[in-house]
Amino acid sequence: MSVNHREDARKERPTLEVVARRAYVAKSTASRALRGDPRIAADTRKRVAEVALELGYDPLVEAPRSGIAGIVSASGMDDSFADPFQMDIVSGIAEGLSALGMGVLFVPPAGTAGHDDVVSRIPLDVCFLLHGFSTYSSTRASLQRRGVPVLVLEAEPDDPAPSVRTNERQAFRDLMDIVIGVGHRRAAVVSLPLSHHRVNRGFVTLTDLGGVDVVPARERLEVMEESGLERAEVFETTRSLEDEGELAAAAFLALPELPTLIVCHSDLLAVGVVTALTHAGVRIPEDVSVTGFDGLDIPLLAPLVLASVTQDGYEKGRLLADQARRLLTGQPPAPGELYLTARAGNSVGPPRPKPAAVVTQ
Amino acid sequence: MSAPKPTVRAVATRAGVAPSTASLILRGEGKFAHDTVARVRDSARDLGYGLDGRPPWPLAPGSTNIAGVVAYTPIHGTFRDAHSQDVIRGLHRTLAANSVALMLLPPIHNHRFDDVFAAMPLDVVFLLTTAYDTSSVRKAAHERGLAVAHLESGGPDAPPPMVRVDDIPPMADVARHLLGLGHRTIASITMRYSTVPRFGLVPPSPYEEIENPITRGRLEGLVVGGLAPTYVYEVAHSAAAEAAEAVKVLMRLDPIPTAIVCQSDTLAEGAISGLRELGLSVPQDVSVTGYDATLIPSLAPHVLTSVHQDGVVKGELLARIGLAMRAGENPPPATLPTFFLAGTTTGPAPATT
Repeated sequence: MSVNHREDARKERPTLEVVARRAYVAKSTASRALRGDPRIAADTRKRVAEVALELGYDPLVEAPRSGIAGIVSASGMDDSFADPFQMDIVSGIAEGLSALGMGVLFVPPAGTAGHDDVVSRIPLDVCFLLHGFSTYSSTRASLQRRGVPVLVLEAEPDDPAPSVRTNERQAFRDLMDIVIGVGHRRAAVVSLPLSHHRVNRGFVTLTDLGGVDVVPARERLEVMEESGLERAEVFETTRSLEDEGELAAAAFLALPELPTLIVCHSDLLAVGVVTALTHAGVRIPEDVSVTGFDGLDIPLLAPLVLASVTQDGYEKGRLLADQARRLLTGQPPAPGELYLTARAGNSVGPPRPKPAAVVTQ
Repeated sequence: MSAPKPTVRAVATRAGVAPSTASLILRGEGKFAHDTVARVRDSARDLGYGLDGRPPWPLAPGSTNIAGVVAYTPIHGTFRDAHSQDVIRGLHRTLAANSVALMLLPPIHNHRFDDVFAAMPLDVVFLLTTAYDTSSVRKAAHERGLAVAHLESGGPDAPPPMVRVDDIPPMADVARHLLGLGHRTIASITMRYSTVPRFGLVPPSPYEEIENPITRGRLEGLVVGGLAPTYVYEVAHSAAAEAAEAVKVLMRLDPIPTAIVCQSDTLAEGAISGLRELGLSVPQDVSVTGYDATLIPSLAPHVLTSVHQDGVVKGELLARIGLAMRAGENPPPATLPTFFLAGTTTGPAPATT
């Protein structure tokens, strides 16, 4: 029977208790010895370490942990479920953690009682902050006050929390160089939320990027500046979903003249923009070029393939989970690196010529 | 000067309850109205009672607002298979609307499963898959007096699903559709027969003997529709790669199948990519059908001939059942409607030479 089978498997697994017995010490002593506690005599520490090594004892498995990892996105996981790229990240994290025998708790969105409840009292070994948390968010502060280590998906460059390093800036720069290469000099932007401190949807005036504190949004705006593309209108969205892109497109359609290029901060925003523009009879890329970010496979747009930056969300999630493993086993952080590439697609073409003077015949 | 440490009395006064009531609630004991419990906790939180790394009240079932989920296997399949993802999404959404958070439990066979299960007092447990023998979890939950709502459960003594999907009528429609197109030799790529993972061609045994109700029902539907499969290929997981391997075996058989009936869209996606690798066209050379009717990006502009079942609705129905059970009710099972959808991946059977 499978139940017995599982029991047997457990007997074979070396526990701290077995290590302690074999090393002729108390369990608490064995635990201290393995952590290198100086109160334990050096030769005892050595003996315990040897026994542990011999038995293949994995301290991670036995660490006094709840085995629960939190995963939280500021806007709530329901939005994440609507985004295939985020789902890939979540699946990578869940897969990595389940290999460690951990449970994954989807923390309710910030601002709800459930959120505060989890953050303040549920025994978490580690918590993943996916989107929309500034370095100084109260969620993060509460977790850290309780000693729950956090892993941050979109970390500031100087953030000490473990994250995943990518060549995101370079890949986005490559994408910008592609659009410049076909003749674009000016781009309108459909941006991710720009600030953790307010929610805004609509055109914004950005004289500089000082107030932009959401990492991916700021980086993408900075890289566009560095590439030499002139920044035209910027439409800020409240979240990275198709309907926000559609609203942005409606705003562009109401302008006296459509931009020739719309740089979107995510593929889902770009899908919304393309859908709404196409619906209005605008041709992509003949009339307007559109770029995205994430590199999703989007069947609804076929045969149109978005110019975008492709990244492997699943791999990103696995790398984050691996960071958690290092953290929980007391190993020094060694950020995983993820390689992103620019994809030309077919949603970018030369800028449309200036409309010729209307000739009436 | 530091503020005095908040006392139970202060928490009680602020919440407008007797100190003894507050004390019980903070210890997670006694039975009180939900809003009383909430008021005491809010009061404790506002006053910072007990908050220095330690939870102000112990974790007991009925107080955590957390639902444990034994998800699909492999766990990433839960998010990568479109139908599974929809189920989780519907489940999560309905639970969240009722202030219950969702926790994915580690795979049952992981040696830490019991520890995690014990460390996290849950309110209710959801079992989603037939791929595991869930008898031990059901037993453990029962001992703790936990409600268990199962979408599917695996193992010899698995109870019937609480969200019923009648696979037979739509699969009979699949059979009739293929018969109408002239197909006579068909292969089926099926899910597991039991909780034991196997992979390969299996003798087409009588479907009654199959333990897994999903596999059984979907094969039975074909028989009911008048087109029993000539070949059956069982896979361990509903993963595209396994189906891609399967077609390489199936297309070497004699007589060669002219249609492949897959028990999930993910399997159909894999079968089609495997057929393309063999240089075969769908549906000119081989017709392929799926199950779930999800959007498969790699197939565009093709639309899979499939059976529609709405995963989000399935998850929502299951969540409502679990929430009712958590409240001590005994809800009846729900039924999810399904229907056959003809797409562009099925066509007339090629003329035999």
